[in-house]
Amino acid sequence: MQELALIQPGRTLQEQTVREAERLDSHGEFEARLVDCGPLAYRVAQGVLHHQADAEDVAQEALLRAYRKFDRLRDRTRFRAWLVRIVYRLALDRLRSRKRRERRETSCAFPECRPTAPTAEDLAASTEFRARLEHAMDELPEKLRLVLLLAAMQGYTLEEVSGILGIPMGTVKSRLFFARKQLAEKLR
Amino acid sequence: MNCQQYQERILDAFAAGEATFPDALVEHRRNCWACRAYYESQASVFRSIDEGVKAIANEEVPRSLVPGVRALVNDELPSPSSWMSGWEVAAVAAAILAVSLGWVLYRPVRHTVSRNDGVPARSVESPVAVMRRLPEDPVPSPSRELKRTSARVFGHGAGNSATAMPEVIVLPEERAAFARFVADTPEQGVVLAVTRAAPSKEDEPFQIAVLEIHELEVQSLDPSWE
Repeated sequence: MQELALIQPGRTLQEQTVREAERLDSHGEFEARLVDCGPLAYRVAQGVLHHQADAEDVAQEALLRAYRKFDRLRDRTRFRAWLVRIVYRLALDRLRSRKRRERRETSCAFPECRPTAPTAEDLAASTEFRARLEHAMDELPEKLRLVLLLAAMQGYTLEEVSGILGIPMGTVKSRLFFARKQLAEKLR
Repeated sequence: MNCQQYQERILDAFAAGEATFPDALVEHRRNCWACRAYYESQASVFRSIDEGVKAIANEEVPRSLVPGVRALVNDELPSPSSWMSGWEVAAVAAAILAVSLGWVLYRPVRHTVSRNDGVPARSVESPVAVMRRLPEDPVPSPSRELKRTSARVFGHGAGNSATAMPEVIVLPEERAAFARFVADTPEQGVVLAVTRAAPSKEDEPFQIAVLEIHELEVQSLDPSWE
């Protein structure tokens, strides 16, 4: 499609050259953002999927989609928020399809064991707790889950999370509160 | 405020990430064994949640992520002169097509007149003369091959090819003489003329000869021209 557009009859050579230069500029700008936002995309995907290969796959797909539509993004400062939305949507889609597949294959994916009186360090270290925590996070409403993930990421303050998601600071705090409370109730 | 209400306040305070608790809550916790135990258990749960979520949210990023995306993006990015090469490819393809078509349509069809007659071979360019065997001759003649060739080239039926390429019907016993006659004609500017009216029957022979023009005078039809 891009090549067809470039050889459209009636377009002058100058127009094509200008478009080509713009495209290369845009490519360079995206390259810079890729290094900056690639880890964010992966971590959001991983926070939803809890599977390295799937998360990498989804993050790559999201970044590629972002690249394809990068020219249409008027406010480039919103790139991070835009990318997070793309990757989060894709990750949720992937998770749903994976759950459907798992439901077909097995009736229960997670063990129902509960620790008797573990310490905090033991719990955190335990892979069993990790599995329960991931399961509990999966059951959180999507909006709460995303805020919880972003707020827990290193280098992101609540203000930045507010900016990324385009929601007020008070909403971020309330979503975080409900997410933590629901997790505690599920893991009690 | 009873213990249940205090415990709800404790849970909310941890969920909100509050660093300090109200004095009343601190005082109640100091005096109530159950609420103190609940506070400690909740502190442990929230610490675990914080550490676990932090670990999940900060997973190590695979090194292959950025190079992988870069490769995908580079695959999609057209090379700087790709649109030029597109034109070039189209031009070259068109030129090759035109040359091929021209060669196929206008190539000279060569045919050896006497193949089996013991007469020295002589190439005759179409459409000067094309031989066609009579129906009773079972041996396939080169002229049939030519007819097929012309039909293939022009894309018409045999009738059309006959109009495009005049044929001379030669009886089998006359073929050697005809070949000799064609071989003796000058290389350039051969004009063959029928020496008498064509017979009504297709298989009757008729004579042809080289047309000789000794003198040619061209006169104007308009008298005022001179």
